[in-house]
Amino acid sequence: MLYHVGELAPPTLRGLLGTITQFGLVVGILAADLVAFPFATESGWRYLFAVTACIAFGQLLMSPFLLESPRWLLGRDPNSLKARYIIKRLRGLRYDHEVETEIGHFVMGAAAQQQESTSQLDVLKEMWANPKTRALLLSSLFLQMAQQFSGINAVFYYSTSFFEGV
Amino acid sequence: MIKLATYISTTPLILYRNDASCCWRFIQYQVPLGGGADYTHLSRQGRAASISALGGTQSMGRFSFREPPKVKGLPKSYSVSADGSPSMLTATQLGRQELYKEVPFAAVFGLQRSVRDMSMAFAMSAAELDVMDQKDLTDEERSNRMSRSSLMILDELEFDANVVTMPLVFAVLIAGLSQFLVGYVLTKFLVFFGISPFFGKESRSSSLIPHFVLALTFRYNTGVMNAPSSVVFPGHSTLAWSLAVSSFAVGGPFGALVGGRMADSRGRRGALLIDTWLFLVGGILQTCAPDMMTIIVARFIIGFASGFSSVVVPVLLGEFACHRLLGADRADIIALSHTFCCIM
Repeated sequence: MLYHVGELAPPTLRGLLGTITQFGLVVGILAADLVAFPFATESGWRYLFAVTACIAFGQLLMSPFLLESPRWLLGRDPNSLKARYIIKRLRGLRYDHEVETEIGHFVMGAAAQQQESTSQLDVLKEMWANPKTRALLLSSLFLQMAQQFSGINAVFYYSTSFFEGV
Repeated sequence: MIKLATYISTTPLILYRNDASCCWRFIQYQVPLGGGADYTHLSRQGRAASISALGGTQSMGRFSFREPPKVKGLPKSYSVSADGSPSMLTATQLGRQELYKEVPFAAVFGLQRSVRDMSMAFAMSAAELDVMDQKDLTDEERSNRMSRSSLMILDELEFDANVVTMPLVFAVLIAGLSQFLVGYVLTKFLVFFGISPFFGKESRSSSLIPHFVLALTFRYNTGVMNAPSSVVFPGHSTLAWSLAVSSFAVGGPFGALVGGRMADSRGRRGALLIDTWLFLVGGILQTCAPDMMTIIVARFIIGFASGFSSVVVPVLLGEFACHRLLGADRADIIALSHTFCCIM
């Protein structure tokens, strides 16, 4: 997810966006804990869990508005009319030639990606072979592991149990 | 020309969306053309200003210099960028400097091509302008060349542009909901809901600037098991509770594995609907659980669904967003490694 944001964010905002993502994440956990305040009782905990089911149900109700990915449709059948309709709606295009241009981009992009696609293992090997990227690879792995070993997840999952023991 | 005129009417938008110097330059050349005035006037003015800044004089449209700028340690030649600002760097260095500004983009897979195409278009257009400045061309030919090179750039910008439409907003919302459930991040909203002060006639907004609306981020299912540990089936063993908490994480990688395949075979939408059903089943099972064992199983299902959606949702939204981005094969690896990291 962060990868995706990093890919789309302009360089000047990338740091900010990364921080906001993390911030939002803990805000979400806070929300779960706030919902737990009224419901974390012997009679009420089922409502706490029901939130998941309710949201999933709402999502199913709204699913007619969910569009299929035009790229996937075009990958199966380059002449797909459905894909053309979706692109037209999605991009707010008016003319057919605009849609065809867009479809040309999709097809070209897919072709380029097939050419460029290498196996993930090869990429890793390549990164390992180059001393410069090896340091980067190792440090990112180390940072991820250090984050996990810091025990923050134990706090997310078990802080209530910790404080009960105090 | 009509097409060009339409484009020029959206010029302020383009100016806004690309604060990079290259686009500003482009605007500098565009404005006089749109007004039907003599464009060489402005570009010469820019050159004259830069030449006088470097100690040169301009006569009869040709440039002659009183003396070359003497600055120790710098190359003797200098170049004038298209907006008229002088630089001691050679043209190559100038281009390289510009590239470095964009390096964060250029380094990212999928945006490399965009940057390359864009710089090619700019370079070609700049070359054309230089030629036009020197040769004696008829006005007609001049304006033809002018519009051809501008169209090339505009096509590039257009190619990059994103449009926010209601169907898009809805699709993103619905897909984003499952991210709420996972508990990962609703950052997808970043990508689409731009607040841009300039909206063109067709409400075109840029692909880069508006990616930064605040993300509403939730991590519901990750955090939800914390508080009720003592009230759900009082008297359960610590082992049972730990299993219930961690089965969420165990389900994740399996979900991610299956999700990538499903996204390819069933379509992104189909896979997302399956995922939503999984969430629904898991949620109902967890809510109506008669004992601890059921909760463990339900948490596993929810974890599975979470891993599933962490693959499908980015792919779906990424494909809505921009055809230059990636498909399932890569996103699936990324999400997998992410999940594994979380488990560790």
